[in-house]
Amino acid sequence: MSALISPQRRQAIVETVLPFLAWLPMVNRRSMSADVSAGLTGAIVVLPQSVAFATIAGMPPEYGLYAGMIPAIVAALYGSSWHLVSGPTTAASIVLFSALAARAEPGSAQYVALALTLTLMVGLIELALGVLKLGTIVNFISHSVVVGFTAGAGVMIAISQVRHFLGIDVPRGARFHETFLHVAVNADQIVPAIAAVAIITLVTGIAMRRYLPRVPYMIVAIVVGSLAAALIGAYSDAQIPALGAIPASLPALSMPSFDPGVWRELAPSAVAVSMFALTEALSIARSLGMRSGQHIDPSQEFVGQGLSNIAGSFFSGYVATGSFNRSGVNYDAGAKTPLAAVLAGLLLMIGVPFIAPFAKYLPNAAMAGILMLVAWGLIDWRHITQIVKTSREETAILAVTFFATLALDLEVAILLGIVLSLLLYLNRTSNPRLVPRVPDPMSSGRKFTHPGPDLPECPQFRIMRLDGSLFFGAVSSFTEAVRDIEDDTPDCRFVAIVMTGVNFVDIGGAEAIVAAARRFRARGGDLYLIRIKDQTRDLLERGGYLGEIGERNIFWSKTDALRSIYRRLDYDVCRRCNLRVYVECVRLGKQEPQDDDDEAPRAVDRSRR
Amino acid sequence: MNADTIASGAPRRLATFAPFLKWAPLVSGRNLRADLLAGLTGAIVVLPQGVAFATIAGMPPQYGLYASIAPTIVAALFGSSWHLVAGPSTTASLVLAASLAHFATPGTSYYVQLAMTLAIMTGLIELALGLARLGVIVNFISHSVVIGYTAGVGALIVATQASTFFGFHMPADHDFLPAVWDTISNLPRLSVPETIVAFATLGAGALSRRRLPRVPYMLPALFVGGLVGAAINLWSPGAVVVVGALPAELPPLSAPSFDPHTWRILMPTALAVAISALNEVVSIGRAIAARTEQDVDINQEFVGQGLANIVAPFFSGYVVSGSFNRSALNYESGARTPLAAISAGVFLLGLVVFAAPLAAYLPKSAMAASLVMIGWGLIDRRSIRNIWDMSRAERWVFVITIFTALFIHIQVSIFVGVALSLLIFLYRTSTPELRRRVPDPMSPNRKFTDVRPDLPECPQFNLLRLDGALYFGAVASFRDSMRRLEADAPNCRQIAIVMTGVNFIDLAGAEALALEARKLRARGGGLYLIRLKERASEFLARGQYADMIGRENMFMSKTTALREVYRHLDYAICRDCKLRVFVECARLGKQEPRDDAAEPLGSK
Repeated sequence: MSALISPQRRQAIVETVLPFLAWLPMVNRRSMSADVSAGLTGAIVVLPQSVAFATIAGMPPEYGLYAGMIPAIVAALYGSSWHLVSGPTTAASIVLFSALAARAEPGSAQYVALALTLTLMVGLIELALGVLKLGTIVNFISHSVVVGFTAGAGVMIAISQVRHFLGIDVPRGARFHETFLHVAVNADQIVPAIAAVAIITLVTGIAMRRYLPRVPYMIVAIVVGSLAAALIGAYSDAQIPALGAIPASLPALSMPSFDPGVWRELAPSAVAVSMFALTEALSIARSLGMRSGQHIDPSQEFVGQGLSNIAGSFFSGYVATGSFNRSGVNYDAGAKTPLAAVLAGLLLMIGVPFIAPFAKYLPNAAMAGILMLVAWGLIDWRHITQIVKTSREETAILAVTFFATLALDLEVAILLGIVLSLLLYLNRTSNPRLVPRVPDPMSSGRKFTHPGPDLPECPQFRIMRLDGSLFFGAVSSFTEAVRDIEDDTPDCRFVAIVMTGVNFVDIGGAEAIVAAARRFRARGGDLYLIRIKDQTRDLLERGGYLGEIGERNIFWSKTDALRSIYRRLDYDVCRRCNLRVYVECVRLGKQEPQDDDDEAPRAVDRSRR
Repeated sequence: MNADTIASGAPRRLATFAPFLKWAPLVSGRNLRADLLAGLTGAIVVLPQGVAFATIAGMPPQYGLYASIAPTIVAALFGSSWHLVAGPSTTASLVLAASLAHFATPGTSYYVQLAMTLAIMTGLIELALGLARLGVIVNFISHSVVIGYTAGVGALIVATQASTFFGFHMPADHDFLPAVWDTISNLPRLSVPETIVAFATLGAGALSRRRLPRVPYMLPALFVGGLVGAAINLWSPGAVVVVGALPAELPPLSAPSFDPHTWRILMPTALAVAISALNEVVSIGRAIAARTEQDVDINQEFVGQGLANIVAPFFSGYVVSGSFNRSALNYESGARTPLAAISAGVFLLGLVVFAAPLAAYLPKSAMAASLVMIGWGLIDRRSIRNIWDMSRAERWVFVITIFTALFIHIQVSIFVGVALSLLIFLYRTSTPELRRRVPDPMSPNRKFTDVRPDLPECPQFNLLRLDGALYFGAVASFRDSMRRLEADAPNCRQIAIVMTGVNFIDLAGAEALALEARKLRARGGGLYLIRLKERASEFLARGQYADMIGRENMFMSKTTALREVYRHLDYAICRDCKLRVFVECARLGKQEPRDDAAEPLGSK
């Protein structure tokens, strides 16, 4: 059998099935010690986070820990990035919650079963995208969509934690304004002890982040919050609900549902979750790759993410994806290979049985305080201000995505954002501008610039620059623009189009050029194309359009074009014209334009300058 | 477009609902005579066409004529083009038949009512699109989709008419495969007299097309077919089945159904018919405008078509659209204003009464033969060959569109084609090429060209050209290209990108550029941008990205950029380098580049 497979092919197969062989040789004593210390840091950081994120997801807290074990290890082994740490994340958790809360009571066995099924579906979708090398589709989730969506997710998380933060019984699944209203009306029901614990945790977290940024703030804040709760509990009779003991066991084997009805029902959510999870994982991997100099293979990363979620669904993990802050911590802690993430997962498995009993003392309020901090961190003010300042379109996308996350389902919001950004992009590319250009007498190299009151255009010959590809969507805008030329300057029969911005032309575009050329010819003029890109030219040639446009009408530079075209201009008009738009005009005014043989050396000279 | 934005609300509204005020003053003496003559020609031509297209649509034949009266007049009054003639058309008729055949038996009164309901729904969609000025959406139907779609329509017409052509006399199929299969399996049972009539019609049509290109070939073809059929029927009565005399009456008043359930099931079809009708209208409008210099306002044309389809069901018409050949004929026979199309409708009113009995002599197989000719004509072989030669993407779009049209459903094919062509477009723009360019020593003015084995790049300085907008979809590909370059030429720390092909930059693109610039700077090099377009550089400036990239690193020409970059090159490498990629290299080899400026070399 193996004789049938060429060595290269076998190599490729091995690389696909066992991608970790690629970095295994990098593991040596030095990298090992770095990875162990990074792994330990990672395990300490993930401990509070995974419990917190499971709370967001409406899952029993131990499931967060489980999601940080097997899925994290599988993702590290099969992913492309050396530093990406996978596991439970805020955004994936809140999307899961928003998708499932309507279908089952959060925390119930049925809810967990749905979550595991969703995880399996997400894993399969991710794996399929990776195997089919469709990594590019994530590129269409624009930055503004991501920023708007995460900000929305932050607000959603904050809302979902209000009940634990203040001790008010806000109905589950209440929307933004409903929660506010409820709190305002029932302000007298706020439990001071609970709010105090939450606020102490929150303040500790903020202070830690500001003054001791290198210490994992979550653990400190949680410990302080728990102590505060214990103290308040000891000196008053206030009831401060706690998380409750977490089973001190390793993840149990689990079984997602294979009911087609459930699958159909969850399909839209699965698509949305996987799109977002992949965007998150890939963008983190890319930004770390940027810093470490590693080249990320998106498809391999997708395969890793997919396998990790498939594995997760059988080992009691819920949707895992790349975690931004844990990956950052991992990199900063000096991780050299994915072994660090693998070790973090293993250490978590070892540590959980010892730590789990302490969850009994962990107040919900302290957790809510932490999550408020997490939620605030999800609102990326720096990028939001930048987007608002820079572009109206992107601001619109951002705003629509953000408000859609609040008003609609999260998965709808992200799809809406994607569609909107694509529509705006299509609208832009389907209206390429045709800009008039004139030589700038002030520039030494006779660069072209926009015409102005002091820079008139030649009445007989206009040079236009087309800023955009001529594809089917842009054809009618181009045709209209050409028609506008005819209407605006009926005497101008010669038009040259500078094609440097035209990156490609399809059949519709080619026919539009031919049609425009015919119209100009019918009026006794002509259409010229300057500096066509090679690919475009090949395409025109293959389609037989080059002949119809006329090979002679295609020039490599504006200078060549001018020299050839001005011979065809109406000499009488030129003689009476005082505009002198082109350098050639000076000569034209003096002599018949036909004999310009002595012109040649000068032109070459100029272009060589 | 310009006029629209300038015109204030009220006059524009008036122009929308009374566009005929624009050309009414033109109607006088000479124009009037020309229009009436063109109208008469049009009315004569629409007689056989209306009957034939109604046959395709599975409607009783007289409905084709009815559809050419009131709707044609309304469309001419409210449309924008002065020469476009609306009425029954091949594609609209075929899509209608392909969709309605699932709900009702063709020719029955329920079927007719469904067709009328479909007409009013289509009309409302068109009117809404026109009023909302959404005509642009038609632009996204690419050339290859149109060619694939019409070829699919043509092939379907040929396939479904074959059974009548050979005189099998069996219920018509509406799907491609069953129609082809039934034709082949029934071939031994063909009716000889009817097949003779069909071939006589075909022959006459082909001959007339070659010899008398100015005469619409359908008329002589059907005339000859009718004569042959009559002769055979004289000899053995009943051998050739005829269409039968049509009711010689004016279109009866009628009403569509307003049942919500019917509307719901017809919705997808109405949408498909509207889009394909609009596409037809736009292409006719453009083709005619190319010759008449008249500016066709697409949105106004949509309003006209919409109103025509809304009126149609009340006067026994079914879905209408622009007719390509009748519009061309109208123009060629000298029509000056829409009055020609209006008079064609009025003349038809009179002609129906006289011509209706003639259908008693019209053999069904002759009708099928003329439809086969029309269907064959819809397969634009020249354009298909063009698509085939042009590019793989266009080929795929064409193949998938026609495949969907023939084997899945004609009404979804246009949407599938549009979606596919958009996906291909997005894919293409999301992977802009980053070409590595070097000066071509063979070109007199040292144009740049792609890197070839015999044209090496400078080991320290790469010049790239980015062919595509740097928008969110393209950022990942851009970064991957940069990484690949980095792996390929690890010593090259100075990178210049020619930005002439970058028509715009969005936020994600600007960030990517800033990031690359920062990265190169950290490595002791720099990123230079050459010939940024105004819009792109304005955008960079607005978001402070220009400062992150460095304003001093943006140049208006390659020459100035090169001059600046030399100062940052490592002289030690240049001295030992034999490549001499740039003209300036010759000089560099001789003297210290430091002399160029007082400041020390880059970072090294």
